[in-house]
Amino acid sequence: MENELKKIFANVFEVGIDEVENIEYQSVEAWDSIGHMMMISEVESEFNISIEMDDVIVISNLKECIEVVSKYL
Amino acid sequence: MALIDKPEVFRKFKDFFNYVQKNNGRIGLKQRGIDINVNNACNLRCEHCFTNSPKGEFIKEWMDPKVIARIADEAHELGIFEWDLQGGEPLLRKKYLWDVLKAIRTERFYMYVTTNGYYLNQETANKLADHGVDRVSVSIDSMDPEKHDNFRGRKSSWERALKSLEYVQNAGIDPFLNITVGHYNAKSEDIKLLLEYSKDHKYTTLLNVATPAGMWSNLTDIMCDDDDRAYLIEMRKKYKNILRNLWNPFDRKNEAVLGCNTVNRLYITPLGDVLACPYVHIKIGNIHKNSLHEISKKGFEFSKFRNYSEKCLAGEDTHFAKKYMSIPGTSIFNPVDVNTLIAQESSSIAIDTHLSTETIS
Repeated sequence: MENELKKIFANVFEVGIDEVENIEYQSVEAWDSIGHMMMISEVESEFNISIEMDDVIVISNLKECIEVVSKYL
Repeated sequence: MALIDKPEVFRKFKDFFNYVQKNNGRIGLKQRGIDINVNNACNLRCEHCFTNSPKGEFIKEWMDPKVIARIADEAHELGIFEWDLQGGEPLLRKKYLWDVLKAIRTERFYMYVTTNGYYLNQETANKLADHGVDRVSVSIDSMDPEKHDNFRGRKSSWERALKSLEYVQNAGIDPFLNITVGHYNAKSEDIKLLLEYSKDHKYTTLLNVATPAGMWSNLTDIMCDDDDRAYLIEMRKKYKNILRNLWNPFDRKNEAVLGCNTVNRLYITPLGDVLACPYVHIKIGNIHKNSLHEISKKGFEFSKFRNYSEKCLAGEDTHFAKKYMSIPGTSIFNPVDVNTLIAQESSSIAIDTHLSTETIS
């Protein structure tokens, strides 16, 4: 799961795969609210899950995203 | 405003994104917004006004907030995620504006107000934020105050417009600097200076293309041509803070075009007539007689609104403008009925079919 999420982060937020663990919400230009929505949508599609809004708000870095997605699998 | 601050908006915007992704980046038949003219009175006399406000047309009609509340419920059900309150000048009667915003229940929409900024001060900006307004759009025509004031027909309008964007930003609302772009100014120094100013102040720039409608009825020479259109895409890539409604907001390369938004964004007049867009004065229904769902369905029956167009029909497609927007006397208050166009289209298809059958036989 972690590798898939890293790929999504790198693709949506336009950073290298080795940088995805160091970025946070609004720390790079592409991770604005539209970028956040696009990332959530990609994650939902990849894992065939629907993330609750309470969890959407919680995610502000890769580690938190892994924790949230783990709950749904 | 961050999208995640309004969960309902986030959900609907995500649905919109998913639809567009599955539809090859095109807007298709997906509803996205409401542009509503709640009253047509204005304190300025802009040369290009598409609502004929300077002529004093229908300036005493105010839409009932109860009707607006019903429309907002219907819009929410349709998945519409953005609302633009405009006029006329929506800040002329502030008490009424607060009532309208309460009626809309703004927590369900990315809510914006389009204003000339003349009556906007810090207190008003803060109150707009308190009422759930996420974005305020203010049009600026030039960095030359005299040029703007002459175009708008009132002194100090430039100074007040620029100042209003600062108040908006201070209030935590997204400041949008709107620019009307036509063939006459697309590549001008004026536009470059405005784009620089907007970028420097961390505003978003919204480009509205000039249209041969309202006060500029029949002036097709003002419309952007293909070179202008390509130039605007260049500017989009260069500045990265520029939007047009027909551009794809999800494209990080800043190249893709969603397609013309006719019917996807419904325009409602103070009389309740619903037009295909603010600039295409073709009526597709009336909110006092039809539901928004019925109105949208009717609008998409007309092939020009249903089919993809990479050009803005009103501001870039001269063939469309000359054929459908040049009927004398047409305005937002005297629109062409879409049923007439649908009937014409059906009869022309019938004739074509008949002729081709005859040719074959």
